[in-house]
Amino acid sequence: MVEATEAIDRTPVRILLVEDNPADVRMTREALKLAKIDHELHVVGDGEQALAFLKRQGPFREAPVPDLVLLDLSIPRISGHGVLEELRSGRAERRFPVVVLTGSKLSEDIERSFALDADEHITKPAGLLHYASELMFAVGLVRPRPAV
Amino acid sequence: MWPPAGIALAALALRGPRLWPGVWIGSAAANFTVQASLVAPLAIGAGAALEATVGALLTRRILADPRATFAEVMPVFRFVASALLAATLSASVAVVALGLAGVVSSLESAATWLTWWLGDATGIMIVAPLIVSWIRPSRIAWNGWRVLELASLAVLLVAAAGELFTGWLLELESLPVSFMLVPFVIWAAIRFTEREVLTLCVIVSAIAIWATVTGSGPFAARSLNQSLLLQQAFVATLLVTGLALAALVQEQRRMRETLQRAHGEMEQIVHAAAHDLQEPLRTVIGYADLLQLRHRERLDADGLEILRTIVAGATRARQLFEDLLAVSETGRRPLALEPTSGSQALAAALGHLKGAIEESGARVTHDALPQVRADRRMLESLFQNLVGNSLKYRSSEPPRIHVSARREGGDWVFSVRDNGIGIDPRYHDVVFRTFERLNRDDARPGTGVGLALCKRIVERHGGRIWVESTASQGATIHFSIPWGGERGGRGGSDGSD
Repeated sequence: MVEATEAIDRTPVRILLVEDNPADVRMTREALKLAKIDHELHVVGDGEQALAFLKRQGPFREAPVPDLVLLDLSIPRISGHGVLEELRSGRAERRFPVVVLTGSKLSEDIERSFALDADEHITKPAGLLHYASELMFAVGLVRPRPAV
Repeated sequence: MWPPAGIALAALALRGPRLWPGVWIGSAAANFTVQASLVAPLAIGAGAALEATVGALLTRRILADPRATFAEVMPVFRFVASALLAATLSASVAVVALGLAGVVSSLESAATWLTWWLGDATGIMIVAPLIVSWIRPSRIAWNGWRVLELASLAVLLVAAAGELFTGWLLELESLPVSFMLVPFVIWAAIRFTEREVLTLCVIVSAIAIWATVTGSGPFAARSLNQSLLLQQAFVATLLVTGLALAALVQEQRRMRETLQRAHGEMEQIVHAAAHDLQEPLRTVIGYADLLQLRHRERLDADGLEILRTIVAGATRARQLFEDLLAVSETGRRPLALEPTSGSQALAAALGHLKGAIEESGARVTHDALPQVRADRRMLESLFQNLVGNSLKYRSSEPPRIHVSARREGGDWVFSVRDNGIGIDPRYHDVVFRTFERLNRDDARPGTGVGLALCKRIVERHGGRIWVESTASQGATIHFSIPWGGERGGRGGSDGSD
């Protein structure tokens, strides 16, 4: 008899949100709350900080390892795709699950995201409910919901 | 023709009028060998220097950059005018000097002046632009075909000029058939640039001078001087025609390039704007939701109504941008032409419209539709928009929609016929404009982009789209797709740019 039960992870999902627009940061917080996702949110405002956070460098030496990275594309210093490129280069220690969460629905951007091995490319929807459901979907990629 | 006049003018125009003493010395020396006196050559040289200086100053004014080319029409005419003007200086000084020296009698002076003037003017008109055009890089994208074309043109022109002036083949030299050179110059002007026109004119000129001096050709007149005058006037006319036409053609080509570039930039701006302007609206909508979620109890019915209106407005604006983006995308995306089944494209479109078709109780029928060379996604979107429109603009009857196709010349003409509210003939053109809607009622939602999008798709395939309808009797939208795909896509390359 085989009993390969996967232990269901019930700890809060640790999310790194890379987003420079405060309105979107709040929107994400609210949507996570609305979606009743048990989470721990860390926010950085540009690509450089995002890489430092994930590589635990500089002020982020003590940073936790996130379960999911929500990555905006139009961020200062290093663009979202730049961050992704660096994360997916051979230099990276581990493969962070990255969901691109952006205003862009340009096919160039979407193709680039997947070419750079993003786990998903989500175009930020209008409306809080849509936003919440997209976040549920994104979190579902790394933390499958326990079957009810 | 007196080429030194053109060389001197070009040198002074390019290197600066301060070089005028060189022209003086050179011209005086040349005339000294002929005249064997001192005063007359010095005076003639001064006249030549004056001509070159004035001509160069005028040319620098006309072209702003003296190395600029004769690629615009007005500068060509101004340059010709200044060549004619500058030549009067040299001719007048020379005739006075020769008269004072007793070389030319007062009887001969008018003819001498005319010969001198025309010789210098022609020399300037041909040689100065020739030098300028040859030191500039060629503006032609040369390839084997272009070289072959130019070579053929040169051979034909030389043959024709030879015939005209010597009658080597058909013995036509004594007949007034000089017009037969005109088509070749026009050919050079239209297909090439002023450099080729000028070079060919120099060749014609050389043949003409040689023939005229040896006493043959249509311009052989009573005296050699007269013959040369006639022949030079002919070459000058040919040249000015060719130069002006070449400039016109290039002006038009540049204009077209400028327009295309401006159009491309505009498309880019529209695309970026339609995309980026959605972002702040997304924030507006999201935060309106948030307000409602958080502070609902603090808003009364009126407050909630206001909030709903804000969201509705922002949502509609987003939809407008979304549709604009689709139109712009249709213009930008490269066409992926492939053999596409009309029936399959329609089936796919109907699949997308399944809900709306069922809801309206519509019956959609179609004949066998042909395979066409088209972009599959665009053809689907075309059918989806047209059938979708028929559903949207339905009358009180259940919608009946029929799609058919027929051959018409080199085109397939597809038709989508419905029994809807129809389109008043007054508005048959209007409906294809972006954001143009005939109905503002909420029962038929939309932004007025559908048919504009259809028009773009059809036009990108080289076809056209039109309406056949009277109000209240249904409408038929026809569109044509060239049989072989894009019009002009057939046939080989002619090697032109």
